[in-house]
Amino acid sequence: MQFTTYITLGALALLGMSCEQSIDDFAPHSGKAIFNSYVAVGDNYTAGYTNGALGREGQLASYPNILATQLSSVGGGIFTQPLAAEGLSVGTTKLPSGYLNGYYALKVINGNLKPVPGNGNIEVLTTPIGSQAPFHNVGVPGAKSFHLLTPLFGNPTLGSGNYNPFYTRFASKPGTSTLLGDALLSSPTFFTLWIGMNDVLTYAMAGGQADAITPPAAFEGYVTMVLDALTTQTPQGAIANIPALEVLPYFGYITSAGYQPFLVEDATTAAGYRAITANEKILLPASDSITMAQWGQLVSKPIKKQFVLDETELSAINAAIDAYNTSLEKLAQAKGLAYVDMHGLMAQVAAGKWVDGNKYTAAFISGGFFSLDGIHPTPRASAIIANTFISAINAQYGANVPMANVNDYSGLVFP
Amino acid sequence: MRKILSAVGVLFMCAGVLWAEGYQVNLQSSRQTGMGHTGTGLNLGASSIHFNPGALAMMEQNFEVSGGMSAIVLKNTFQKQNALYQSTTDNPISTPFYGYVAGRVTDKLVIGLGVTTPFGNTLNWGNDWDGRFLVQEISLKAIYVQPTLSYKLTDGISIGAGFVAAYGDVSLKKAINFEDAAGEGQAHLTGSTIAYGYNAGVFVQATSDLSVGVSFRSTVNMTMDEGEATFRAPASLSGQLINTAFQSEMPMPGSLTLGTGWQVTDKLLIAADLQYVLWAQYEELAFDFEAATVPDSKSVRNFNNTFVYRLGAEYNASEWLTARVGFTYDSTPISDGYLTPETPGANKINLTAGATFRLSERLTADVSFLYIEALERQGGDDATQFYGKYKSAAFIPGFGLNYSF
Repeated sequence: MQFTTYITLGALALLGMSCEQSIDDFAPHSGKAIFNSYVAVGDNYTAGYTNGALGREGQLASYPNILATQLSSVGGGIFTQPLAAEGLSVGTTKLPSGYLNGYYALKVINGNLKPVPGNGNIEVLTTPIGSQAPFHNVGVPGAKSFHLLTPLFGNPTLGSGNYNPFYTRFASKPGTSTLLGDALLSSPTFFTLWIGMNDVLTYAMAGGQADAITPPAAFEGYVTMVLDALTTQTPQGAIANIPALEVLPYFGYITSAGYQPFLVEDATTAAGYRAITANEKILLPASDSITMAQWGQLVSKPIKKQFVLDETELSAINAAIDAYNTSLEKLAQAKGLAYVDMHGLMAQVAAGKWVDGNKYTAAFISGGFFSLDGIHPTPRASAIIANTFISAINAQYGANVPMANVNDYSGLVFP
Repeated sequence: MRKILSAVGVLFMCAGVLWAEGYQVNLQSSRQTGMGHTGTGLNLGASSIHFNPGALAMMEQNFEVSGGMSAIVLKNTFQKQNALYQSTTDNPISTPFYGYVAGRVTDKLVIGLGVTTPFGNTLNWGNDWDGRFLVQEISLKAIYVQPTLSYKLTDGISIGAGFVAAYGDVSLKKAINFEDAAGEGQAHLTGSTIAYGYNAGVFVQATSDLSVGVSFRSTVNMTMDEGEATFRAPASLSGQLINTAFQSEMPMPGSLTLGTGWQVTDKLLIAADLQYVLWAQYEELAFDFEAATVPDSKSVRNFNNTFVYRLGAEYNASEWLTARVGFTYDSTPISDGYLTPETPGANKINLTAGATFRLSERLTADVSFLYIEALERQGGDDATQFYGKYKSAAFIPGFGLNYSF
């Protein structure tokens, strides 16, 4: 009879152990950082520009918005963005229809998958929402380093081309306020700053034929002024550096690889054209004229300069990016801020980066990282970018901010 | 009687889920499950067909038929690394079974036939969970049919061997990284195959109280030549992701087991087994798709050979009742860096209990309870960069019937 008692006791012990199964929870905390009021300062990436346009969909998937969601479990407060109205989007390219473009979408044209723009909604730019300021996300598509400091950036009286309507639409006082000033309206306790892409990108997207690279010394001066203003109110934040432009599919999609090298315009040669070299880049907008009208394949049609980045232009761009990044790292260290290596992240993506069961590359469309404009990230890539910020912030401030679930966001949508 | 049945009732209330390590299933006899699934060194009668074919010739009865099944109630949980995300499986209850029949031909020769399900795995993480690009649902099983011959060399030593014809099938569902307006894509792979192997052993009744056995089960390589892959994908990609056949291979590993039994008193029997499982055969899981437009996939698995330690005790409480208890420590074949949600292996502790009721001169009924708890394991798969903490527990009631004369 004693044995049966042991069995009963054993059974009860088993019952006690087996019914509850808990797993150690992740314990979020803010470390030395204070996340109550988080402000994001930056350019297209910060604003959530993607698939060739600014729209609510992209803004909700911007890396600052994703970061703000993750901060909510460690004391983060509300995060307001200058959202476009539902279903509207607008870009910067004039379409044959006369409209500015709207979001690009993948369509099947003649049996091939192509990104096709919809018609944009100008009312996104012409409907002022500055009265709803302050906004926590003051990212502006097209912003360069010095644009953050000047009231001219949002001044519509200067005439088309001399101001940026993407800022004017949410500037607290168009013509008087500055982007930096608007950032400080939220009394931030923490900021992120990602600026400098457009200081080279605008020049690069013109094939080196228009605009100019911001000189690195001037860049450092502008960023120092921005950081001085931000860190007076808010000593805590994160600065991201600039990725190599060559990683973006906008610059790497079209190559002569395997075929006779394409012919490109060159005024310095007797013939006025030459073969493209292995390192030079052809810009994405040239792809149709190359594949359908044989540009670059006939001596009468060498690819025009504005679609090519030659060796000189490329080395100027890369030298500038390296100099910018040296300045940014120095400033981050001097001010005790987290330094986010976007240059490193994009290099990893170019080599192939696995995240939670999927491989991301820099390939156009199939890579899953870059959107249909070849420059800006898909929502999943935005989450990966946000997680890169989180890693750096956790390391710098001893915090335990939870990572975003990359797979919760969408990739490119196929027809 | 009432005390026993109330203990039994209490155990049935809880539902955990536990699974044997890797995809091995150790439920090939309700009696043996009750004592830690020991048995290689014991004279079990018909169920020796599985535990040690060498012992079959020592069968005490002239004829025995035995069969039974278990219900595996299993729950796995996952806590993602560096994130607030948690997930729990919703696994269906799987029901491994066994059946043995054996008869004495001469006083030296016994023949028999066994049907067992020594491998299986059924996990359902759901369609929307974070690891869906690795696995959503996986289900695999193997059924072994083993005709067996056993011969008494002397009064104390017998040998035996069985030929194994195995049926295996697998079904795997996972999300694929292409979405359209309706949602994400999915790949569904299914296949079945027949493969062969053997099981052999030696049994020694060293003294009237002490017995020892050695048995070897060969690896059975399940090679699927005509698996079927179907894809749900966006219409614009359906020309590439076409339904196609695939080839794949997965080993059901063999093992070498040393066992012993000690009749301590005429009521109490203690048994111990040491099993060495040849998991290292499982080096990679590859799918070779016939269609050129569907990229082949290869994942390195690099399983390690492992030891399993078993201890059990059986007590003849009375004429009509025998009670059992047992313990097993099952180490995991999965190395760090290769831990995936489709086989979330960890070192496991098994606790067992059981009983046999003698219903008549010829008929007995067994019940068994197996509780398995996997030690919490932090890690993940380096190749696909998916990391977290895995935990699992299983509760497995079983029963069996035995008829012999």
